[in-house]
Amino acid sequence: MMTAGGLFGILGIGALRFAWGRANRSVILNTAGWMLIGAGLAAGWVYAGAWGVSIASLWAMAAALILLAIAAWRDPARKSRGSDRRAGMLPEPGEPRHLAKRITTFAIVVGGGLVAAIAIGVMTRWAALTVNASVADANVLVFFAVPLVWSILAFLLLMTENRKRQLVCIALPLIAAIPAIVKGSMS
Amino acid sequence: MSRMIETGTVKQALSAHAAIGLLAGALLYIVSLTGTVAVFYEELQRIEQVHAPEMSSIDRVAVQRGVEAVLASEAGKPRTTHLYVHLPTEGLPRTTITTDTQAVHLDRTGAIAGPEQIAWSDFLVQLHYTLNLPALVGITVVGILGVLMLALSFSGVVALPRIFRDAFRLRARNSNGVGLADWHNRLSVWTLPFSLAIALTGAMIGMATITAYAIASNSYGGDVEAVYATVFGGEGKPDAAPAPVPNVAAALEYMARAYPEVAVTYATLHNPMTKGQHVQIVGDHERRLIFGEYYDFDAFGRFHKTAGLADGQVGQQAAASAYKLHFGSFGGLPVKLAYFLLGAALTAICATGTYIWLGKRRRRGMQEHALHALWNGVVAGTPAALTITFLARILFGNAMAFSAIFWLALAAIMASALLFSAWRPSPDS
Repeated sequence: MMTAGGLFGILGIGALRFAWGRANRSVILNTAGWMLIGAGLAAGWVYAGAWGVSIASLWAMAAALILLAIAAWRDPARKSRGSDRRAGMLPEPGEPRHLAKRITTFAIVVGGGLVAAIAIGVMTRWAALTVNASVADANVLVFFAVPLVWSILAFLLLMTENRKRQLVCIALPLIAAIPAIVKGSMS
Repeated sequence: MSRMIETGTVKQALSAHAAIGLLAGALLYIVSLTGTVAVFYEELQRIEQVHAPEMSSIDRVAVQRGVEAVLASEAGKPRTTHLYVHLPTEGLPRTTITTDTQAVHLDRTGAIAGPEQIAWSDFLVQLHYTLNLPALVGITVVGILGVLMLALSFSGVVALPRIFRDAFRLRARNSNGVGLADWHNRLSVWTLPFSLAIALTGAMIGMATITAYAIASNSYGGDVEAVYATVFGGEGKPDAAPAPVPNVAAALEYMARAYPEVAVTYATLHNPMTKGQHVQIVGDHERRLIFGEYYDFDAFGRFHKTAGLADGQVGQQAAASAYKLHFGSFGGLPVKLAYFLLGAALTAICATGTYIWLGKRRRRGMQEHALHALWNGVVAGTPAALTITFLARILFGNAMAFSAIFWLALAAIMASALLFSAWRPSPDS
């Protein structure tokens, strides 16, 4: 079963390579590629749960990296102009530094994001316990939720420069967590 | 994909990606590189101390003898709170006892063979875990880096509108920045499952202290240990009254009889030689991601219970699975090699990200000689400084201050790169 898991993953990557190398998109080939990868992961799960999925995904990633290495090897030497798109991290010559604005953004993303993520974590625990999850499950949920939610919030907060929207992103989780915080402090 | 994501969104995602990457790039690079090397922590220990006694297994009576010898050697000193016996495994076929103040190897008979001398391997792992900062601060900083790595993954995916169409396009020989961007983007896409797994488990492990404190403050009256006890089991009731050495051999004998399919990796004595002492055995389960199950015994070696990491609540199993998944220790040497290659790719992604940003600025007419030189210093200096610490270990022994050597060497290399660029700026920098 594990061999099948690895094999399906490799065949899935091969199918995607073939599909995406064509001039026109093929829904059938794309679907076949993704389904083979899915079948590989499913076979890994049936064989040995999370361990099997991990092993099957390593085979698929290895196949993709080998195909990438072949693409790199076959690529002819050439010179085309690289991107010069602005990322906006540093000011261009003559532009103001906007230091206060940058420090505020940093504080909102790091400080505000962490507080909001913890609030969502506490709320998640409360919600899990409300639907009769075990205490262990509820606590572990928070351990995974806080870093995951913080990373998503960091991304969302940096996707907008509008301060009002950023503050709403921080405030909503805090407001939503009030019942959980009140209930928790009373227990 | 390109139709789904608007141009403005891509531009904003790229800005977010650059902001996070440049803010944390150097530390992410150091943590990625050290994590990649530390995949071989067990092998490095064997290289570092070649002549330590090795064995495929050890008799339980010999283990008991070793425990008694180590505890006897600490008579008259402050009592150790824990004693850990590492039992021989395929990756590290050594028997080593660690207390609060010392670590020694045992030979096959259970006699103390000599001190454990793996200071460089431990330095490497500490550099990865805490960046050599004080433990709680350091592991939290590294946990935050895990969060930033997750955010980089999300923003990177959104910033690549042709993520699927270009997934196998790698213009490796294009020297005008296109090749560098292709390497960065393609490696990022195809190592994404690995990166997400590493970043999430790393962030979870690193931020556990803050998270546990938050849960404890809200629901356990500030008792952080009570939070962990729901997942990994509790410490037991302490009683400082003196007691004889616990019967570890009986616990190991029970494990061999009742759980022959479980590979015993550790025996831990909690509060040894006190009335509150108990023995905990860690058993590794084949084809599982969990680091092991805790089997609890009393001081007489009588079995009491398991913690439930192997077959308890889903949350317990998930929490116990984070460690092997992060460190790549769930499939022997083949998985370690895969993790090494994927980790090297992740390290290359960290390195190329800043070079891509510098290249874009250069093509807009802004030469950043100093920044380019400093980044060269980080990228080349980190492996060089690690090599210097390893040479110091080989030439001068186990007692060197490896963290000081590493950071001073890295600072010196970065300063040299900066001075060299001021003296002779590269036309391409």
